[in-house]
Amino acid sequence: MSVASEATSPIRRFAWLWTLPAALVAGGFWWGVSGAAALGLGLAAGLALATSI
Amino acid sequence: MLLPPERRRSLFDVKIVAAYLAGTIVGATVTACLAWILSGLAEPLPDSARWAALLGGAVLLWLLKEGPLARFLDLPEARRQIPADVFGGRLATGAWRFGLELGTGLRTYAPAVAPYLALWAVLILRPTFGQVLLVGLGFGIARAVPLMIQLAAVGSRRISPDVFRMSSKAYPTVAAVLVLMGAICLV
Repeated sequence: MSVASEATSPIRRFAWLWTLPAALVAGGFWWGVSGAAALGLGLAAGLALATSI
Repeated sequence: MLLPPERRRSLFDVKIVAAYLAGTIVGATVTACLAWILSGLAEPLPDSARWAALLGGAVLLWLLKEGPLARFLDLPEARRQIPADVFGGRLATGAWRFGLELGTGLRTYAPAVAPYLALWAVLILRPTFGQVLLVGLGFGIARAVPLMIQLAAVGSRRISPDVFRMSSKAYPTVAAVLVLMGAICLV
């Protein structure tokens, strides 16, 4: 593993995890797809818990 | 530790993660369905009252968990670890039971405001049953993400669970805003 990737913050490495709930919520908000928003809501809540313990 | 610190993964490891994932999804769905049943009490509320309760509740929950009121009042929380005896039998069964307990979100620590807000949204908004199932599915999948990533990291450096921890105090608030935006779509 390179020095550069070693130096990468763990949060930056896994920040992409948040793009899925954000995209689902934004998509649900923009296009009025409540199912996507509901899934994104659940993902965001679960990720918040999984990444805080 | 459910997965041993090895670079190569076996089919047994996949079974353990699958059992854990199934447990988190079922646990989260059970909690979501129970909240949905209780949300029937909010059925007579007019839309304006729902909006007020959602937004007011979100602010209050944030103040109590992340804000200045956190020092004075605690939100309800099971202040215990999942007991080790859930692994009393086979490892895959233990992973299922451990996932089930974690997935409920009610059986151990909850150090973020977003899960409280998600529960509050289901209770006060009374979404459709399909939406509630999707909330539970999302929560369960997300709860199992750290273990799934460890499973997928075959051949690479072992990933410590520490790397998933949120280092910034802003993350819980960002997550809560996402949950609130999702909830607004359900009104």
